[in-house]
Amino acid sequence: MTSQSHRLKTGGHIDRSKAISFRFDGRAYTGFAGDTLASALLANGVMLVGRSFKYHRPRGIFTAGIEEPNALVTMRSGARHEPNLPATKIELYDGLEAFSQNRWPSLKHDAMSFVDLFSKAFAAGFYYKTFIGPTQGSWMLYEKFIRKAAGMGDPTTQPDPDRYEKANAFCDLLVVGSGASGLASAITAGRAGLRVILVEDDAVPGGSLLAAANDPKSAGWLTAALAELAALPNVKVMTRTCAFGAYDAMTFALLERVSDHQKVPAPHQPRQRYWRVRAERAILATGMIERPIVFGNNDLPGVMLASAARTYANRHAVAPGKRVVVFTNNDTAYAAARDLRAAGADVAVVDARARISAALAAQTTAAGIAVHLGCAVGRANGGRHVRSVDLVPIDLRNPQRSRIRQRLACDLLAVSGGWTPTLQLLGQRGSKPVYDEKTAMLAAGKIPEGFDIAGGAAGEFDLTAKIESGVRAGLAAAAACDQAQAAQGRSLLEGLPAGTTTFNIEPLWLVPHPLNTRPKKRFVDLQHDVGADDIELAHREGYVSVEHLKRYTTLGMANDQGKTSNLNALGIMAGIRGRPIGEVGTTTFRPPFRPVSIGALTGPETGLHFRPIRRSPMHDWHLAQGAAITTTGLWQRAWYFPRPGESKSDAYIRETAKVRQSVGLTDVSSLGKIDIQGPDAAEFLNRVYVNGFLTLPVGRARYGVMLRPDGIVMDDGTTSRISEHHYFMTTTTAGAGKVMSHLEYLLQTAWTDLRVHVTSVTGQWAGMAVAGPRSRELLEKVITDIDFSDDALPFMGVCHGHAGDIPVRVLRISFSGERAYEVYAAAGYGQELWQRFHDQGKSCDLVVYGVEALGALRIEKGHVAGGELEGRTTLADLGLGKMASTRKPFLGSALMQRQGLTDPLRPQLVGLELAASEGTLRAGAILCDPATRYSRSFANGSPTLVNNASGASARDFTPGNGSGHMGHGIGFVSSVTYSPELKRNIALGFLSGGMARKGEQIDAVSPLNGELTKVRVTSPHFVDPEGERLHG
Amino acid sequence: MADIRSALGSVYKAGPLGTPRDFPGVTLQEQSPRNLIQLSGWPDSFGAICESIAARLGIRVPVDCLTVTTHDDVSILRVGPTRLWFVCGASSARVRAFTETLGAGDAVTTEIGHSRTVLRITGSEARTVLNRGLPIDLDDRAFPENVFAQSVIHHIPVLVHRLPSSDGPAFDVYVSREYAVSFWEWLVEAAAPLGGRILESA
Repeated sequence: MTSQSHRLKTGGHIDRSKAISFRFDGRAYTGFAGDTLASALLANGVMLVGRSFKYHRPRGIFTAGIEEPNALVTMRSGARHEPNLPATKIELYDGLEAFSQNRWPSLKHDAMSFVDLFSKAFAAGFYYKTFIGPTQGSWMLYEKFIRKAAGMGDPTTQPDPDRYEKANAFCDLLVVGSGASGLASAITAGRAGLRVILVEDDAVPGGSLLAAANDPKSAGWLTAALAELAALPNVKVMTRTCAFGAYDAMTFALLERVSDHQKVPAPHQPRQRYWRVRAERAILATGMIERPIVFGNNDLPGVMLASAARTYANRHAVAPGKRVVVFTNNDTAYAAARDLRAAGADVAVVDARARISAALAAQTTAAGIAVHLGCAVGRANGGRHVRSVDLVPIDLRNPQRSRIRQRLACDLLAVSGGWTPTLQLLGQRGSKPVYDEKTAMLAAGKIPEGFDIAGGAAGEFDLTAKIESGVRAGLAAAAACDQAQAAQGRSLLEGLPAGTTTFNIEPLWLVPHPLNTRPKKRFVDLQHDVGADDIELAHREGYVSVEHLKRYTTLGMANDQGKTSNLNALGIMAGIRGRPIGEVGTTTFRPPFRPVSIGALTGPETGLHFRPIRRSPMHDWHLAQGAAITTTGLWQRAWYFPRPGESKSDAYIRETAKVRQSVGLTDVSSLGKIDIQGPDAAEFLNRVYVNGFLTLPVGRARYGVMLRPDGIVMDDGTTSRISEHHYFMTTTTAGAGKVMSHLEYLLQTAWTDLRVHVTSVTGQWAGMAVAGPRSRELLEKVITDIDFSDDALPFMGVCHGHAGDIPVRVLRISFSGERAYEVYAAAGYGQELWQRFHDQGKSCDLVVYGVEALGALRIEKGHVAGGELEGRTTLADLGLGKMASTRKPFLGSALMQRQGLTDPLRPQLVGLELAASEGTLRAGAILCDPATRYSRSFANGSPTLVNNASGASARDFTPGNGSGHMGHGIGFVSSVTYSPELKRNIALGFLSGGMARKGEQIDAVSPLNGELTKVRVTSPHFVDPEGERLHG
Repeated sequence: MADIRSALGSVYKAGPLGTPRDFPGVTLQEQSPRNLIQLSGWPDSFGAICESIAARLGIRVPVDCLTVTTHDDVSILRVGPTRLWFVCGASSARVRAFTETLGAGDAVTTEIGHSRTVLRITGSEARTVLNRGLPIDLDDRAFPENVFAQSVIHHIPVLVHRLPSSDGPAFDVYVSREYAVSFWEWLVEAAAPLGGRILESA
């Protein structure tokens, strides 16, 4: 374990009583509560923390915040292993384990660092230029090597052990950022009674106040502000929370890092929480991000932003360097210089400006800091750490290459090239920032309705100005929310001196290479290794638009999204083009502002809860009986009920056979059920279904098919007439929601004159089918007050009765082709009724069957279901063309006559069976005409494919994965099963020519499986085509 | 009459919930099966139906959609401009007797009591747990007592009714029966970090 060699003896917002142990690359260190991983590493003198993305150059800690481009590390191990996290945003906790990335075998000695020597070969556009033309195919060879050589950390492939939450919140005012202006906004709006949510990405509120020198007045102001906020019950402060997205209707996306500051989440606690916040107003008090100046070797460890150096010194009590050079073009870096000097460092300022104010000069000199005016850092020197900088004279009005004037030894180079207000959330709402020449900033453009900005985001530097702008924005929000009578409180400026902070920037984007030296790389985007040379190259090759520049060079595309690089790139491009920056344009901001884990976006919607599950009222019974469960849409349905040692095939074949021999019971609760009532219900149904419903008598059911308006079949089912104005419709399981929406849509838009109400009663009714020759016998045992004779309850009859004390509705309808009944009871009685059937069924040789047997029975009978009603088929395709009434119009009746839908060559429903004793029938197989098959010919001494019918030859393709067929075929197989009744495999399918091809032998091709199976066309009614068993 | 089987029969277990706390964050309780009768009318005659309800049953029909009136053990939820839900206890027979006097031209009724599982959520964190999934503002000003909303939680359709309560916020959540177990599992997981208790079914 190492000592904290760079820790200052006093100061900082850290708790020195709480020492924290952590490991980096396996080595043990200590820090204090209040440290980030970055500050703790710096405190221990660790400057090298990673290798760069492309060139494997050594990199250190560059910033102290969310904008960090360099210090990306992998956190934790095992299933919690997570790559690419900025060390500057990782709170230190006991037992923290972090690893550097993109290096092998070690960070210090990275074997891939030789790539840097060949960097000219890997400039922007490398992929586009290299893997094109004759060498295009080599990409497949080199891809894996390139991906291994370049990149960031690797994710784990283990399942995430943590839980994540989603949450919704609502407020009058959302304040983003808790610096001085954000606090002032929240307090002002809170005093006025607004419901305020204040979000802060950091672990503690305060923003840049935490990075300032320990000035008693500003510290006292912060303490008082936080105390007042805590006392306001209508203000909620959310720390460790980042507002990463702004969307329509003032909706914001927030990521709360609930447990990331702990080794593992506490029991029941999520790791992260994804918030959706709906706000009436929003104030962005998001501050500014300092930007660097681009010069040679500007990526060396030990080069960091001046604001970061100041933060480490003041907030974390760390001296990031002992001999410091501050390189700047504006006044703000002088505060960092003074604070670092106060922390005990030797400090020199290199200022590119020719002159500074007398007051600033006097203040700096008094602090014992040397100032080099009219100079720039031409390049930094060092290996794995900066050791010195070479100064060159510079004229900011016309920067030119010049000789090195002086070398300054240093171990820290703090850079400030100006500031960029953090306006990404405004940009996400379509508000493009505009370049302000005076401040060399991208300032807010048109501010969208509902938004306001305050503090640094509005370009303010001085504490009092920030507070004033926060108060103004808070008052404006209160007025906009009809809380114009703002409650009174002490002045938030009370006790603070008038502001004296100055900025006085003179822009400098890129320092020319010093004369008579070998040019060093000058990085613009540190995270993606994009240099000034890449921008110049992009310009030479015509990618002068900002959007093209971004995509060609990948500048600003990594997980820091160019927070420190975008404006420098604009400045450099503008310089090359000789145009003002405002004319060059800005890139588009899109969510997220910071990387968001997929786990947080997913929340609890994983595994079985990926989507909610629907369960039948008898679901528990099925599970208790050992049923295998299958998923049908959102429903969990009993698939089959295996006996010990039975496979799926064994079980469903037994169940299917038993239904036809005696009686079976199956759960049909998932069928859609719709209650239709009203004086115009019959007319409504008559319009919806293709067949007539006006004449359906009370007490009878009718099979119906409904079309979409475009003439394609939508769904089928039975509808029963319960009383004169009351109908009970059933739909397919999959079609239930679709049909219900369809009916409501028609009643609310097309046919508002019809007095009809529809209600989904799918959950109200448990449904069970009793099918088989002995079904009537079983029903008579369970339901004793209904006459089940054919005269009293004929096929398609409907009646009501009781199974003991349970009211039931009975429909005599059949999906299996056997005598069968559907019995419905209120859902809460479903399992009890099922149990009664099961108990009484023992004497009837009852079998309980699942959806696999249900499917086998209906295929044997040739009934269509989901495989056939798949959104492309017409009535005629299904062999149901004669159902369509010619005496009335119905929905879809016009467009079903379209030329394309009446084409006689459309595939039509047929039965299929294996032509030979062996082979595999697969649903989805493509039906092909054997006459159009290609076969291999060696007539000319080389293999050629010859069409069997036309004799045409083809080369250079492998039709149908070797089947000899190509194209879309002449139909497809829709459903398959093994028929216990016929003791062979059978299928339903659609075939061009339909039943006219009965008896023909066809090829069924499954390219995915590389199979070709000979099948014979037959009737789709495999069992009991005359329908005699319905009455058996 | 056979007992009505709860949709939560296999998963409902009374006892402490999640993180132990000094005060109950959330209390969950399944409510006894409700008689839930839906009455749907037509614009031209619905006013008269409402007057008839007031005269015959002694309950004022809510004027605004998404609001509730209650008298004795009958609550009326106005779920649409011309659609009401009668949530009844022992008075269901009286309500049914009334609805049977209506012709199809006046209004139609549908029994839907078995299609809903009702869960009561109370406690200081009741709003918090609901807002883990419910995109509705539950603040007093936006969602006062005897207001309800129809929305989705975890993709599951729900009706959330804020009950009159002098003991902190209280909500009844109506969930489609076939989704009840899925919703319950979501609810328990969402409530666990807040701590609380699952009470015996009412």
